[in-house]
Amino acid sequence: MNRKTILIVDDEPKIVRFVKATLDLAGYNMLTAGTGRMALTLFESEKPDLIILDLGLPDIDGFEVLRQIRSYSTVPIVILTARDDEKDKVHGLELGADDYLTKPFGTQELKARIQAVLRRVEWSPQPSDLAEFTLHDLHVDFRRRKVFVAGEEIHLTPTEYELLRVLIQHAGQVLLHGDLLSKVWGEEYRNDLAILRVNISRLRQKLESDPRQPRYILTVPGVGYTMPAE
Amino acid sequence: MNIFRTIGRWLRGLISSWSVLTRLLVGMLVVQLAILAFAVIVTSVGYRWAGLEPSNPSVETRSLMLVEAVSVAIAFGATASMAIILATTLTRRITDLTRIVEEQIATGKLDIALETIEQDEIGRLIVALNKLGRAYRASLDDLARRANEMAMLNLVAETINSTLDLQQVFDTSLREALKTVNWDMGSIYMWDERIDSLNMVSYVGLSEEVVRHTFSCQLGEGIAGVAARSRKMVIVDDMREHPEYASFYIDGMPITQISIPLVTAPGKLLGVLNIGNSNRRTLPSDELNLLTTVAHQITLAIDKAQLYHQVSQHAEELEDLVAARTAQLAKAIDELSVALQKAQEAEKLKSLLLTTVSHELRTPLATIKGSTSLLIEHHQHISGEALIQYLKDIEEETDKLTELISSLLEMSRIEAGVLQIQPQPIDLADVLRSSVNAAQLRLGDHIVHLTTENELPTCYGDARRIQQILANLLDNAAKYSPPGTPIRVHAESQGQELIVSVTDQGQGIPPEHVEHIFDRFYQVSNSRGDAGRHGIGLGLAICRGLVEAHGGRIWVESEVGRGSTFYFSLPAAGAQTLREGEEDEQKDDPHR
Repeated sequence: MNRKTILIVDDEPKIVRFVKATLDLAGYNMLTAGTGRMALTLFESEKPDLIILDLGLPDIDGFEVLRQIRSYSTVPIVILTARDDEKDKVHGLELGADDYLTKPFGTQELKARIQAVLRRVEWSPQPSDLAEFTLHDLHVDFRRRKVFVAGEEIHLTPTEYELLRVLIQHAGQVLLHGDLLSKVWGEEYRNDLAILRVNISRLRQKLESDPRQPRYILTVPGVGYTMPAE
Repeated sequence: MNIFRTIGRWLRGLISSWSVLTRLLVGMLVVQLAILAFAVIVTSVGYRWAGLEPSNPSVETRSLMLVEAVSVAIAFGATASMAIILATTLTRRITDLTRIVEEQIATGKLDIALETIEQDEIGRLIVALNKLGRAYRASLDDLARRANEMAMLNLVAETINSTLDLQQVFDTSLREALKTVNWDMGSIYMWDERIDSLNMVSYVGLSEEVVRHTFSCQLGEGIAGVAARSRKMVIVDDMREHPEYASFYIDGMPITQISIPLVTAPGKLLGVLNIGNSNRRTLPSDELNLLTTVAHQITLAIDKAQLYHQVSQHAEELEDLVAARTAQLAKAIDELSVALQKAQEAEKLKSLLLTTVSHELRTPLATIKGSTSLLIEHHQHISGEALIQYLKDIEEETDKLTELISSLLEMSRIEAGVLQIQPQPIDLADVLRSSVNAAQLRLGDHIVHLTTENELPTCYGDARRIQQILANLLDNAAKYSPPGTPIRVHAESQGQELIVSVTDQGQGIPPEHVEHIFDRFYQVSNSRGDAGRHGIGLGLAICRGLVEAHGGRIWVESEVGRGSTFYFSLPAAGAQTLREGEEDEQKDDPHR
C-alpha cells in the first residue's frame, strides 16, 4: 500500500513536531511548512495527498492559502487552528476545507479525521452497479469519477463528491441529517450539522443553475435532504 | 279721464323744456287770445242786446267799433310789451346768477359771496346763496383742521409705534406730544407698583436741577401725582400762583403745565404725561382735545412696548431655559454616548480578551495534550533524545501558560486598582544592571548595552517591579528586532525624575498604532505580518500600570524601519519626599 503524503502547515514548531511524529508513526509521509508561501511552494512541488492547515500564519492568512489551493485543486484540506469561533469554522468550510479541527486536540482524533477524509477520496464503491446517473442537466460518471452539468465538467472536492454520491445512491429517498453525516464523514460527525449545511451549500453552488431554487438537492425542512430519482 | 291725464302729462313734458321767457310769452298769448275771444263774444251779445245789427252797422256803430278795436289793440300791445320787458329783465338776472354760480362751481370756489341791493326774491336768493357759501367755507375749514389733526395724530402714532424699545417709545412720545401743541417742556413718569412710586423716564427742556427735584413722586404728590391718583387731566395755568402747587415750584420748571394720566382701557395706570411751557399759556380746547388723543396714543404705544418687553423677556427666559435644557440634554446624550462607547469598548474588549486568551491558551495546550498523547501512545517507538525534546516542549508550554495566567492576574489587579508596589529609595543603576544581565542570558541573539548618567540620583521605587518593566521592554525589543542588532538601555535624571529608555533597531511602530500600543490586548501584529510572534497583548499595558503606580509616565518614540525607543519615568527620592510633604500640607490646610 502506498504511503500517503501529508503536508502540515503551522508556524508553531512544537505543534509541528508532535503532529509530524504522530502521523509519521501512523504510516504517513510528512512534509512541513512554517509559512503560507512555503506551503504553496511545497504543494506545487510535492503534490501531497492531504494538507493540515493552521490559520494563523506569519506571512499569508491561512484562509488565503486555502482559497489559493482550492482555486485549482481538490486536494483534501483539514484546518487545524486555535480559533474556535463558529464563524471561522463556517468560513473555512465555505472556502472548501474538508474538515475543521480546533486546538487542543487528541492525536487519536486527528488520525481518525484524516483517515475519514482520505477514505472519501479513496472510496471506489460500486453501489448496486450504478455506473451513471442523469437528472435534468446533471450527469455523473461514477466509473471515471466525473461530474458534468449541461455537458461541462464540474470539479468537486472529495467530500463534495462523496456527498453527491451518497445522495444519488439514495435518490428518491429522504436522507436524515445524521445519516448523511455518518455516511459521508463518519459516525463521529453525526451531530455536526454545520459541516453538512456548508457542504450542501457548496455543492448547490456548483451544480444548480439557481441555488435558491434547487432542482437536484432538495431540502426536507428539519429532517434532511433528498435527490429526486432519475 | 285718461285722455286728459295723458294730455296733461304731454303738456307738462312740453313746457318743462321751455325757458322762463318762452313760458311767459306763450302764457300771455294764450291769456290775450282768451280775452280777445271773450271781448268779441261780449261785444256781439252787447250789440244784439242794444238792438244793433253788426252785419250792417251804422256810422256811429262803426266808429264805436273802431274805437273799441283800437283800444283793445293798444291794451294788447301795451301789456305784451310790458310783459316782455319784465320777463327779459327777470330772466337775464336769473341767467347771470346761474352763470356766476356755474363759474364758481367750475373753478371750485364754492364759498360764494355775491353782492346785491335787491330786496326781491332774486335778491333774497343771492343772500341765501351767500349764506350757503359761508357755511360751506366753515365746514371746509373744519374738515381741513380735522384732516390736519388726523394726519398729525397718524404721524405721532406712526412715530411712537416705530419702535418697541421702551426708552425710545418714551422719548419719541414726549417729543411728539410737545410738537403737537408747540410747547417746550415736558416729562413722562412711569408708575412702578413694586415701590409705589412714579419715576421720570424721559424729559425735554428741563434743567438737571428740576429733574433731580422732580425725578420721583408718590401718588397724590405734585401735579403728576394728583393726575395719576385721580386718573384725570390736571391743568395749571400758572404754577407760581397756584394755591396747591406753588410750593412745588422751583426756577426752571414750566409755568403752565398739563398733566395727563396714561391709563389703559382696563383702567391700569401706566404713568403720567406732563406738557409744560416756560411761559404762561392757555391751550385752546381743540388743541387740548388733540393732546388728549395724543396721550391716548402714547398710552397704547407704551402698553404695547411694555407688553412686548415682557413677552420678549419671557421669550428670552424661555430661550435660556430651552438652551439650558438642551445643554443638559446634550450633556446627558454625551454622557450616555460615552457610557455606550465605554460599554461597547468593554464588550469589544471582552470579546477580544476571549478570542486572544482562547487562542493563547489553546496553542500551548495543544502542544501539551498532543505531545502527551504521543508519548503515552508511542513511548516505546520514541528515542530518548526525542522524548526529552517532547518533555521540554511540554515544560515550555506549561511555563507559557503560567506566564499568561500571571499576566492576566496582574492586569486584573491593575484594573481593579489593587496592585501593590513597595517603593523605597533605591540605586536605579544597580536595579537596571541586574535586570539587563538577566535579560542578556535570555536574549542570546542580541547584545544589550546599559549606560547611565554619572551619579544618578537615588530613585524612589519598587526594585522588583522596575525589573519587571525593564524585562518586558527588553523582551519586546528583542521580539521585534532582527537577531544580532543591539538593544540599548539608558538612564538619566531630568528635574525631579529619572528617565529610563530602551532603544532597539527593529521594524518600528506605524504612527497609527503608537497611541494604542499601551492598551490592553492591543496587537500591531497583523500589520507587521508576524502573527506567529504575538503574545496576549498585555505586556505593555502591564508596564504602563506599573509605571503609573510609581507616579511615572511611559511613552514611545518610533520610526518605521529605524526602530523604537520606549521611555519611562520614575520619581527621584527627593521629589517623592517633597511630594509627600506637599500632600501632608494639603491635608493639614482646612481651607483646601
